[in-house]
Amino acid sequence: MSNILSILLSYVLIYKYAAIFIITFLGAFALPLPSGSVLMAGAAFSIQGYLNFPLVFLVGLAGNLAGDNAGYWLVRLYGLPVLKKLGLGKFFNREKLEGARQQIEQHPIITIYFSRFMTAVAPAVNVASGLTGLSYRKFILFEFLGELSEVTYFCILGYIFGSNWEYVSQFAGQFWIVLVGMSIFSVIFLKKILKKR
Amino acid sequence: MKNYQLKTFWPWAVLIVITTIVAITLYSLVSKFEGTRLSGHMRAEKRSRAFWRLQNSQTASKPEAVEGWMTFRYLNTVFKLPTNYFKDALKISDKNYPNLTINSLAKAQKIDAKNLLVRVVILIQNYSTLNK
Repeated sequence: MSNILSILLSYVLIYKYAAIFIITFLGAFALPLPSGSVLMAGAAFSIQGYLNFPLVFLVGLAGNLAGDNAGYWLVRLYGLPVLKKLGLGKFFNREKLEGARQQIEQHPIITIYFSRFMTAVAPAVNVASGLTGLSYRKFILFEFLGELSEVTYFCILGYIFGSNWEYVSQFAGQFWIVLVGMSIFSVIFLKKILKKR
Repeated sequence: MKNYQLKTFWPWAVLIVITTIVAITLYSLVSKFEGTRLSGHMRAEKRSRAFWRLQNSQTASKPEAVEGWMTFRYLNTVFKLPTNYFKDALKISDKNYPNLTINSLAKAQKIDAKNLLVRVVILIQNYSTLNK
């Protein structure tokens, strides 16, 4: 187990739900923390009677949502003025931002929904959404669905595999590729079948 | 004509690429999982049980799974030990007990964390032997 994960887990054991909230919040906001593994461990601890499963799930979801929203609103409100002050405003002119916003708006499932499962990418997408002024309604809808799927995925893995969550967490990323691949496969396949009919 | 052919071809190309990625990932996933199971990390009596149940609440029968980041409160809960069991056995005077990790106790008492871990495991094994 990595050093950072064991430190985070000892915080989870000591501060319980507050630690889960802070870790998932920071993970969703900007820091590259293994919040998925923490959620898996939290679910496993709940099987052993140390934590409460519905609370782990809800606190994990709340932390992720709060982190994403904090990133989005912080950049939406103060992003451009700060960039202009730093002299980087010319790289973010209106046309470029409008183009980026249209790209995100046209493909919200790929950009917002699927990025929730990629720890390093999700905060960047939040920043991009806030910076381009993407409508909050659209952002929150796909962000909520994405986080709901992510938290459900990790909590269920932790719940099923219990005390072996640590070994399973090595495969969680690959499990996810299989799931996403199969869902894209099914969508394309279904579309083809429906078109033929 | 050319455009039409491209339009009908690309979904199949995407399907083939996705199927290949999924198949390779699935294969590596299964082989890694199998490797982990055979290496003894997942010692289960039956294969199907190993895969789906994976000793969910059987940590209590595996005190060797105890690690330094675990707190005494957590160990008390998982192994169903009396609250002051470790406090009395290890003569812990730290007021944070049982909300204290094995590593932080070792650091506070300036003793080797591995040694303390071994003592904790032995204490758990003794308790479960005496209370069988």
